[in-house]
Amino acid sequence: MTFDQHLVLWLLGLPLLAAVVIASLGPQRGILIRRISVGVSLLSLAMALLLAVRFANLERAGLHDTGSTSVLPGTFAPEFVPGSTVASPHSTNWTILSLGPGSIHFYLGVDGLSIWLIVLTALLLLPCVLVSWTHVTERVNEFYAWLMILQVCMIGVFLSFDILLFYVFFEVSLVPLFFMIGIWGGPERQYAARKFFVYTLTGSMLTLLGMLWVVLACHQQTKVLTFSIPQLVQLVQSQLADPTTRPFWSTVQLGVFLLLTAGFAIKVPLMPFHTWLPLAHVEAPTAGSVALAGVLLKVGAYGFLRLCIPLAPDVSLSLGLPLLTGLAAAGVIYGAFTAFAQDDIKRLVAYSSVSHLGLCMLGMFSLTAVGLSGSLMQMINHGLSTGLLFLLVGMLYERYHTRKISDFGGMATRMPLYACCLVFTCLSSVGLPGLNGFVGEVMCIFGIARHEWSIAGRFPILAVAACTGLILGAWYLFTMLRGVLFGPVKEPEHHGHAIPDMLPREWAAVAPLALVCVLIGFYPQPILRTMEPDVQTVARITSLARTRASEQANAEGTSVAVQDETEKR
Amino acid sequence: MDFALSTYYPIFLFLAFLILFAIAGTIVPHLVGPQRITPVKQMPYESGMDPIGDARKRYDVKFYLIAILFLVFDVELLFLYPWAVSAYELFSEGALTALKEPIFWEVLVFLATLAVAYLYAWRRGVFKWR
Amino acid sequence: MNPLTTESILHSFPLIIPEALLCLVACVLFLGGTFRPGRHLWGSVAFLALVVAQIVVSTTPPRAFASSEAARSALFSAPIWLDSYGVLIKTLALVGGMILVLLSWNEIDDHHAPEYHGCLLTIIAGLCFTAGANDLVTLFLALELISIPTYVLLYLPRVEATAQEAALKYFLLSIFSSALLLFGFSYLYGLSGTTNLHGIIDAVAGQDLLEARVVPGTLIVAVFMVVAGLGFKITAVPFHYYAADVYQGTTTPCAALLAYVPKVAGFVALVRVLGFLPYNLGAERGFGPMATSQVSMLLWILAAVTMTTGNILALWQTNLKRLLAYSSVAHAGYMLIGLAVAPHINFRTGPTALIRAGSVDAILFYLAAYGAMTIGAFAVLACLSSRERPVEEIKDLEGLSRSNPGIALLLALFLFSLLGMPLTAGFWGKALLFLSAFMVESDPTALDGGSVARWFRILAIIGAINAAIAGYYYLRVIAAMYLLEPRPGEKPLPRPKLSPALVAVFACAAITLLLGVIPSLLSNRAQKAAEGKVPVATLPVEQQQAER
Repeated sequence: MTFDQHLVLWLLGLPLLAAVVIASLGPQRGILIRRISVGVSLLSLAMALLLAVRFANLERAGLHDTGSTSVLPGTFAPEFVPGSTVASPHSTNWTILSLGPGSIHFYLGVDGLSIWLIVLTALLLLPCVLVSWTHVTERVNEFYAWLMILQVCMIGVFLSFDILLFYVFFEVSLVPLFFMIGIWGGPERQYAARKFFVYTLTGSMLTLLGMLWVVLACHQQTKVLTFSIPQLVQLVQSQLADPTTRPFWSTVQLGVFLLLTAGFAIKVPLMPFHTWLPLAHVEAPTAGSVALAGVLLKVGAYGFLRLCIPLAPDVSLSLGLPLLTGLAAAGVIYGAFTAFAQDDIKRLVAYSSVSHLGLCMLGMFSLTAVGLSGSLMQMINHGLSTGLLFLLVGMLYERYHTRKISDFGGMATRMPLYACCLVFTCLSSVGLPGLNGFVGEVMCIFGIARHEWSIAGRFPILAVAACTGLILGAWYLFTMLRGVLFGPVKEPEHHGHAIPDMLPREWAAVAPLALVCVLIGFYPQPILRTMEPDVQTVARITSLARTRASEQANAEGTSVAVQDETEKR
Repeated sequence: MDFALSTYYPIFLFLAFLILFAIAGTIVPHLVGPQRITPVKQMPYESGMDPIGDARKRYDVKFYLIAILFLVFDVELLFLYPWAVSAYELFSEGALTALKEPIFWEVLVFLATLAVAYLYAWRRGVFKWR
Repeated sequence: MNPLTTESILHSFPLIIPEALLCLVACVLFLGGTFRPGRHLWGSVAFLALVVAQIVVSTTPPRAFASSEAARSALFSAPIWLDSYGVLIKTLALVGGMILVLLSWNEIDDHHAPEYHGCLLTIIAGLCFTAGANDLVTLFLALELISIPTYVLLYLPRVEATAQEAALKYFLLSIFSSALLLFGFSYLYGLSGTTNLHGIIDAVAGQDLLEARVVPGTLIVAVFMVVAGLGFKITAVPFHYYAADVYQGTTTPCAALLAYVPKVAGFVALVRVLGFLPYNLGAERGFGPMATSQVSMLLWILAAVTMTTGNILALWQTNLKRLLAYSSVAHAGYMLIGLAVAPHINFRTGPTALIRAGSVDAILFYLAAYGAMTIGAFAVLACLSSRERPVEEIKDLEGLSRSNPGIALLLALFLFSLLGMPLTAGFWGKALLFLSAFMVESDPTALDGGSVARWFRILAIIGAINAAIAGYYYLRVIAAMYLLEPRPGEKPLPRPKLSPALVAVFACAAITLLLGVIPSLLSNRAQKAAEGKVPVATLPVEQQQAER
């Protein structure tokens, strides 16, 4: 095994090992547990960064050349796959379960779609650990063990290239978060935890069916039984290129799309399925909120990008595009207005998540290259900015035990450094040019606008909705800032003890994220360049779907025209 | 139809003997035995239940036990009849060949099981009239 | 007597050595118990007997036939037919038996222990018999060998009114179901003129049932009755009424036994009687199942109704045993998916089939997973419960993670497995069953115009939604353990000492996790077994070709 493959494995193995060690230490040795957690998070961040750098410098030969001449759009080509051979570097032979001719593999790897999300996940672990330092005092070992397990699951989702392995990580991630919300959460934690769990479980069970269906449909048509995502994508594309199998695949795609969407749309969450989110966010402890907003929601969007669009491109175009972009645009506006109406800052941030992810989905389901890149960027940015927002809200709550905007006022005079951080974060979240949010949002809007303008004579209503969402975002965030930071000083009751400004520990949690925000804002090229080839793969899949759709429309059009003419005669 | 009455002679003989024995068993004690009549002895079932009276009467649980034991062992022994019928053919060729047949050993297993059950009941004190 | 039959009976004897051994030891227990009471002594004897039986089962080589002709004749006459599926079921039975012996170890007093363990061994022997039964008579006897000692077991450990009610309820409904089963069997015999299972399927179905689309009405009656009779054993709705009351009334180990043994027996019997397990003689492959579309439709409805009813009724339960009872009903529903699918996929996978995995092996996997997680959950309850502080209601578990973190984690593991969480055995069980439901191919040439595949997809979706509903009530238990503090004023549950029951918990947890992480341990064997390959000595090449 090469060094990179070891890195990939240890990204999963290290937090898992840490979880076991921490859990067995017992609740009394809090300091040791926290130190171990910080060490593990630093180490996994270092590993993730190293992996990203090595990946970015990789010559990904052959990936650009394929699609331009051939009919087939190519497929994902994961790198650093443990268990691969020299002959086939993009696949593995580590089997979990063999089913006759095919097997479920322990198929891990990294590609342009996932590498930055992995870095994001590793990056967010450190603030999660730091922010819980004094917040979590009971059952310390359990808390950090669950946090580490959550980390394993989230990184696992992004690393896995076997469809069932993906599902395994996708589903297991519910368990640690269930406990984190349920044990260390707010007053309504039990209800929130259960609602979160059952809601997402319902969706993901259906997702499992969608995955099985596409696997078996491929098997039925091609006699190849495979659970590997790259191979499935390839099979589906080659099948779709063949017009004789299209009637079969149109049914399968519809079913697969709906089933996969059921799970992912709840996870993202898209507008009518979002009701679990504000509750879970409000009740979760800060670390849980950060993990939830920062990474777990991306799992849903990532699922759309990795599975739903490539495996059901035609239906994604014909049904997904109008339906999901509609829902996403509604979510953008709805999330913004609801956020404005909140008095609880955490709830406000939760609804702003709905709004921002709506924008992300809008970009993705424009099904254009720029939109796809933009939505991936938006995922990363949202993870950073919303993660930061939740961290800062958590710090405020830790000091005053309240989160109501109406309880605060003029805090900028009390905690100037904190105020700077909060303002910075809000600016990043609303997409100030020069900060990270801007890049993703602009690309998403470009994507959807390009799609809408490609339909002749149509007013770009979705793009307008997205822009409105941005403006509304500035509105509610700045209203919140004005209420909390500025104006006459109004400090909630805090029983006399001194309220410190930002502590060094808190700086350590906030600073890296803020730094990355600025870096991405000024120089997003490395990230965009690394994800480019794989985004192009997905974009090519969608553009082929467009071609097929227009061919079909033309064919139907001519047949209708012919019919008309015959009727006239 | 070929019907030979002579086949049934042993049965008739058996029947006649039975009837005679029953009649003799009823009459001879009256003639020979000493008779001291008491009310208890005049009851239809000596030391049993009075058959005339309220139907909702409590029985001693011991009677149930006896009935169940009878049922179990009797019904299980009934199983030997069909066995005998099907084993008959095999045994007609001599006892030694019968030993080779599984059907012989099967019935031994069956009897052994019954014996175990009997021993179990015995050890558990089922036969004790407590 | 037919010499062929005598010979095949003779050949059957070596196949039932484990069962004979178990029965023998059971006799020893019954008799020996009258001389010396003692739960440790007789518990060890029973455990040892199961271990020896397991060794015999796993070391006995499959009986190889000289020719496929000999294999065929044995298949159609022997009362016992032990294929690799049967061997696996026997292993399930024996391992389950060991765990149940450990679980009951301290639940029973010294005086009753020998009888209890004797009955348990007889039940396990009956389950082993069911695994190999190839004849209606053998099958019925095997099922009764399970039922009758169960009545005794239900009576033995307890004398309260609830236990009496449980025993009586089970007894009455059980004999009723046996009667239904016999009724069905008599029709099957009347239709085919034989009691041999393969013979019956051959006679009523012909070689190819999808071709023979006319099914005699009496066959439907027969199958209906058989499914009803066995439906009681697997607690399929509407034969599930007794489950909650009986589980609640009896002791925890008995409830675990009732949740596991009859279910395995019922599913194996259904698979055998309905002929869902093909045989494979190299060149020749077994028949399709009987009455394809009607039976499948019946099982479809049964599956959908059973899982939905079980799950919805479980939502209202506050008593843990009742909750687990309804959950076991729901799990029977999931497994019925596999049965309903079986006619459509086993028939189509010829010897060169690409997918070896079918639904019959999925059922087998699920049975193992289900056994581990359900017995495990009951075992945890048995460990925690004591006379002074019984654990009956969900609220008795409140704050368990504080007082007993280890055991709470184990119970959470079993519950997550029942829920179908990945990395536990329950997930792979469900995944394999759903996979089999999607494996039905739409065949436009079929009578129904290819709508079958769609129906089974709908069934899988019903199953998935049910799994989500189930999440709600399993989570209630987990939430009570982890999210709630111990009730003030109540003494926390004592930490269980190392006891055989705790060993049983660990064994179940190990199986649940092991199958969850490395499912191929069992699934590969199950797939091989479901192929129904009959070991035939290698024939000369020309003869093989001639057979093809």
